[in-house]
Amino acid sequence: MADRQEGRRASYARAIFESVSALDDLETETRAASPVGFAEMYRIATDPHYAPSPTFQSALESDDAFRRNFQQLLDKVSLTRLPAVAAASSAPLDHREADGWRVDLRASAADPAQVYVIIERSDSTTETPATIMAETASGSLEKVPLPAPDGGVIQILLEADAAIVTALRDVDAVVYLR
Amino acid sequence: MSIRVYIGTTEGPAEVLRVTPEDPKVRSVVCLGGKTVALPIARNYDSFVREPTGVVEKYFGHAAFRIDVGAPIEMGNSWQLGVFAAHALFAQDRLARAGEQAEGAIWLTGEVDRSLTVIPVAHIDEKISRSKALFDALAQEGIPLTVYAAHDNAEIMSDSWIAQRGIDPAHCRIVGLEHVDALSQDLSLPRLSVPERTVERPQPPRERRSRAFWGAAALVALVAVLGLFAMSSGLPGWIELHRAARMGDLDDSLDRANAGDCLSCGLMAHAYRSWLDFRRPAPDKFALAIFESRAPAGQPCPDASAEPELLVPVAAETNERLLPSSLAGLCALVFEVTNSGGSVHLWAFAQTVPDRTYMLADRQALSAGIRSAEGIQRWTVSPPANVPMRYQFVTLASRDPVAEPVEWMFRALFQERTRPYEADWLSVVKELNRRGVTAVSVWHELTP
Repeated sequence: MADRQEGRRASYARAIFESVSALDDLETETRAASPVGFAEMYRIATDPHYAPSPTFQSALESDDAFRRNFQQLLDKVSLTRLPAVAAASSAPLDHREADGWRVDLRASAADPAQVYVIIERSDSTTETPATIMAETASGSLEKVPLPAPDGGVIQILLEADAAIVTALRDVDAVVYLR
Repeated sequence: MSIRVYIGTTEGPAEVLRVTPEDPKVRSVVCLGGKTVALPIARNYDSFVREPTGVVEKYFGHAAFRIDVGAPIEMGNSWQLGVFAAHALFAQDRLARAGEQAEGAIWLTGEVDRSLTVIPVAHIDEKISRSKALFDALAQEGIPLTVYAAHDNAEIMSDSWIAQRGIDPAHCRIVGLEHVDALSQDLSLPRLSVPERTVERPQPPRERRSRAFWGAAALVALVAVLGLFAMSSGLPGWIELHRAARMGDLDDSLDRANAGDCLSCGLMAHAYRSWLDFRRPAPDKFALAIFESRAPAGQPCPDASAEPELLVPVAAETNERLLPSSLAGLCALVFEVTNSGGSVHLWAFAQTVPDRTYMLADRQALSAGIRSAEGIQRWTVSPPANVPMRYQFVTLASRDPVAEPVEWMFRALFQERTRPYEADWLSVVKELNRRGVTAVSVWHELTP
């Protein structure tokens, strides 16, 4: 049953992706073929343990149309999108909030070089994210699989200098919970 | 005087390398050797720490910790005794950190329940055998070792049983525990007690109980003497009114019996009142506290889960009045009642004075008429912005449903709103007491 739903969701996402690609083709007279197929793009967006390949990262950073498509795919398949923050300063963030979801970063008192990432939802919901992804302004995508929630709260402990932590603190980065 | 703590597991001993209090927002974790690897028992550890399920917060007053251990602990709950010992030693600054010279070492296995009873665990043989190398090393270093386990587990660990596993019994002291108190005593740690979170109201319980006792004794004597008169004195009617929780009608009926010409009826009514007073929960069983939640300067209010700060009483020896709070940056007030008086009907409200407006009044809970078990109840209220006020936080407790006395109290307090509130309140409390209701209260002021 779940597989069938996932299959339907994939074909729906594929249809959107292909429509957007077709639109891009109409708008762009000459455009190189995408180096990354939809299957890989979809897997990166939906499989918590599937890491982006260097080819994918390169396409995301250099191809605006590819990046736009991937963002649209993430918007479709994610539970929520925590957008870039309109902050008054460029100081690193330790908190993001959108659609009832909240992501907090707390330094570990035991080791300041480690950070707790705490994800929770203010209202009760049966949906729980399995991945947190952050896309920086430069197009770099960072993702980390999430453990199952405990009492509605998901917590992971990461090195403070991990790429995902840097991205989560980046005011210009967009964060997705999938 | 530092002590190394080892948790016995079937894979070998896991040394507690450090205990660190973390931000209470964080879930407690058990990590491996200072790395970011949270062990699978982390969830159970968080439940073991955080109230209401946990005992660590209860006894050591903090809601989130990180423990780093030297080897993985994969499953089960037998780590609880060792972890609790580590917290107890850490609280006294006696836990040896990783690599630190230790005066002694302890090895523990056992579950700990909420009342701190030590529960026996399985696989003792495997755990001890897997720790042989550690025990030998400690003996070689000249570090005395004590093994702690539940009494039933310790019973099997005779000298010969230890020796059969290749361990020198002379270097391995075995202590069986029924309760964690025995562990504290053995380690010369202070006796465990729940830290005070609320300031208790001083009460004269001895005198009150004594009065109540004599009241009850008088009741028994009177019932014996007036047994024959009882049925004609109005007793059946009073019992019926009492059962129906019509405390006002009961009060009136007792008054009438007292004022009438029938001597036995008056005596019986007096006895019934003494019994009502005896049943009434003692006020010292209900501790009130008010916490406030504030926004840091220039920042928005913290979310509801943020730990609010306890307000300080004006005089330490009485909790009747709290120091005024500034409205600037005040986000929420949290009203708390700690009930240690058993299962009672309990209801709380907060009322501004002199205008007598309710800040807190959970009508739904009142009409539900459900008894509250012992424990802590909290209500969060957002005060109106920038409105200075003085208010009273009150808790009512009774062995009987309080809906009727509360309805009476509402009417009494609203009838004469122009009268000085304090005088009104004293007479209301007196009448509530007559109706089997105990009232405890605290005053607080919000200033600009």
